[in-house]
Amino acid sequence: MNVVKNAIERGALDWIPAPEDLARARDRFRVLMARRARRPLWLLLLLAGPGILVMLGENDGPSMLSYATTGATYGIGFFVPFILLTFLMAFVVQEATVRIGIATHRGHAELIEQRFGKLWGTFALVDLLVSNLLTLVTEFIAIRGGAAYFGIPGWAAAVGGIVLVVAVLTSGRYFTWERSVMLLAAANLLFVPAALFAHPDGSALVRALATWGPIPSGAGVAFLTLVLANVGATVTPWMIFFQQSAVVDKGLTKADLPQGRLDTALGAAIAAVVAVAAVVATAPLFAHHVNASSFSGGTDFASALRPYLGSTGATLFALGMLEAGLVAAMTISTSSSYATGEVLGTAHTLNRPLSKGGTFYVSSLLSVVLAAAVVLIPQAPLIPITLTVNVLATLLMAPALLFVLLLANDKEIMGDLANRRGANLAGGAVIIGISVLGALYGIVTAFPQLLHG
Amino acid sequence: MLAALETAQRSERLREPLPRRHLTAPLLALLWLLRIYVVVAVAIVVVTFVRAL
Repeated sequence: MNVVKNAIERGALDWIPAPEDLARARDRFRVLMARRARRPLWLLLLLAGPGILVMLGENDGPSMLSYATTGATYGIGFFVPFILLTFLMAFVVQEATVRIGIATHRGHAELIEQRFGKLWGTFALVDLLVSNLLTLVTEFIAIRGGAAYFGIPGWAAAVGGIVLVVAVLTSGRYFTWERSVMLLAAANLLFVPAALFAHPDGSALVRALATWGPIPSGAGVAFLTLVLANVGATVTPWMIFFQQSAVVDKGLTKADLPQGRLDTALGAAIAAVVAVAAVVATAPLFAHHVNASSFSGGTDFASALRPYLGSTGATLFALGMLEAGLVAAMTISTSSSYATGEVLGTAHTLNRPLSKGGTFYVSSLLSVVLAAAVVLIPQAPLIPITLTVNVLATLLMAPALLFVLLLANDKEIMGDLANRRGANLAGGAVIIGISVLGALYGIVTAFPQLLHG
Repeated sequence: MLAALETAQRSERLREPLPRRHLTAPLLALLWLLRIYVVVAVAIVVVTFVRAL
């Protein structure tokens, strides 16, 4: 800071940089050097992060449980290409958030508040905080379940989860936080070798991709719930808030848009492979008519899979579940912190040290402690909570997506990065698709007799 | 090194709010419609959740 003080006194600097400006400028300097040296791979490595993290973060506890339940209930068939489609939908939405973040340098929550007013900003924040808190509970269910497979008691898993989330969060640098979480998120790929232990039938996979079949017979509530849960496992409100804020915090500019898009596409592709791997890994349960409807978490799946995947395969599956919960707890709690700070007008950056970012860090800590506490309540209805969270997230997506579409079309703030015709058609189709699915779910849930004639 | 930061990225500039946009009546109606949809949908999920207990 002395260098900065001297520069201001000499008149060489016409503004007073905050701690986050210094941290962000250091990161931007490296990006500029990489661009000047024409090192595209190094540039991508520096700029990648928000997209990969948001996609792997969404391969979280309840999502992996949804994919596992899908594989165990229906095997390899309709849901394999359907899952790939959901990731395509996720890319369409997340690419827009990258452009909005780059064009406005504002997080999603503050942009809604500034452009639409306090009321809509508050609605968006409340939707996000409620669904994030519920999702965090399910992440701790996954952490507890994954740890239980290795004999670790629930309280120790919960405390360990909190300590790890806080330790990574309080690094005082966005870049350090991002790289630490990315390192941990790489363990999401453990589902791929676990799937290989299931000796998958390659021709069945190709057939499923080519024909979208076999389609499960009888489109009941259970099937529709799984369809919604799989959509909710891929496209959720926190992702929009997180990626836009992370793009701003990382300091991406218009010149970085190609890398921002590639980062998002890479994240979607990797996460899709992992999601399909989870379906493939649990498909032997379907083939051997094992009833997975009463399974409560990763431990049940890992234990049931041991005869088919072997001890190593089952262990990889349990480790994957543990990782899914931990990484998502980090990204989701951070999205809550970003949005809270943005709407309250307090610090909303990971580039501030702990001592200067009070509200930001406290809101993250509070949310993870509260979520972990719920999981430790004896007789808490953990199974219904897990099943409900993805469905709830899907239902909350319609208004969240509308705001993305409105902001991406707002030429006053987006300039030449505003949506073009193709992006509007794709975005509109995603909104309509999700809204129709949500409405359909509501109707068959409220009036189940409609499905039975 | 601080020059690596674009002017619009400086924290002092980030604190300046963007102007409000004009919300037309059809847009407001759509926003309220979706808000009602959310309230109804969440109520249905809550009822399903309680039934599952």
